[in-house]
Amino acid sequence: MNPLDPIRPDEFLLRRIPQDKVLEDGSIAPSAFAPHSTNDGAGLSVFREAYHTPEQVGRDFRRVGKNPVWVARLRASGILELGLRIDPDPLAATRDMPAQPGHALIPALNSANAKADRTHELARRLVLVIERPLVGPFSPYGPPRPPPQCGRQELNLHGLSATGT
Amino acid sequence: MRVVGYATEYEPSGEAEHYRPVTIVAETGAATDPEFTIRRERERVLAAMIDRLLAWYRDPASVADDDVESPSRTGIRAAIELLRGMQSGQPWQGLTPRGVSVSTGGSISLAFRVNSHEVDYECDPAGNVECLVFHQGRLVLRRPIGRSG
Repeated sequence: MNPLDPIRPDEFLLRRIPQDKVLEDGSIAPSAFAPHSTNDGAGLSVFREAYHTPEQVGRDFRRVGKNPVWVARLRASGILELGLRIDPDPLAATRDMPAQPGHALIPALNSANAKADRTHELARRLVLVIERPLVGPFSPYGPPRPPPQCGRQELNLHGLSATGT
Repeated sequence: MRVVGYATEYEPSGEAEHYRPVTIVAETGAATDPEFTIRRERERVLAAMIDRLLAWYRDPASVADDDVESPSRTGIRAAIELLRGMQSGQPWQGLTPRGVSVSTGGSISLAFRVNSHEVDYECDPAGNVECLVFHQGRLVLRRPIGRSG
C-alpha cells in the first residue's frame, strides 16, 4: 500500500474533535469541520486509519492545545457521497512532528471559503458521517510512553554506570 | 423550580424482607406538566452554555488547539448577553438550546433547534452576531442580527 494511492470508499478516516466541539446536549458541533482561518489553506486535514491509530491522531500529532480531544472515525464513502474529494497528502517528519504518511486533505473545505454558505452546509452533513462512539479522550500529556530504543534514557544509564565505576 | 416536599419510601431490594429507601422529591407541576421537564432541561443547558463561556472569558487562550482559534472576550461577551436574554425573554422560548462551540476565526457558535430546523447564532470576535437557519442540512436563512457585547 502506497500513501499516495487514492483513498478507497471503504477506508476509514480519522479526524480530531477538540472537547469544545462536543455540545452540552452530547452532540458534535458542525464547527468540528469548520476550516481554520489560516492553517487550512489547502483543505481540511483527516488521517487514513490504514496508517494511523486514534492515539497518534489524538495525541502525537498535536502541536497546540492542552485540552482533551476525541477522535472521530468517518467512512470515506460518506464523505465522497457528499461530492467531496479526499486527496492523499502524506507529510514527512519534521523536527517536532513524526511522519504522517496517512495525512489527507478535503480540499473543498479550506480557509478561503471557511465562512461560505456551502461550507456551513457541508460541515453539518459531515457530522452525520461520524461513526459513534468517538474514540478517546486523549490528553496531550497522556500516559507515559515507552522510552525510545536509542533514546536519552538509555544513554543516561550508560553515563551513570560509567560514573559509578 | 419550587420544591414542595420530600418523602422517603421503600422499594424491594430483591430479598423478601429487605427494602431500600428511595427519596422522592416532589416539584411543582413536575408530574403533570410535560412542558415543565422541557423547560427545566432548557434552563439547564442554557446555564451550562453560559458556564462554559464564562470559563472561556476568564482564559480565552485556553481554548486554542491546532484546529481551534482562541475566541475574543468581546465575542464571548456578545454570546453571554444573547444567552442571558434567552433565559428570560419570551420570544426565545421556542428555541431548544444544544450547546456552544468555537468556530472559524474564534467565532462563538451557539446551537439551537426549533422543530425540524437548526438555528446557529455566530458571534464574531468583534461582537457582531449572525443568525443561520438550516433545514435538513440546507442553509435556508442567513442574516446579521446586530452587534452585542
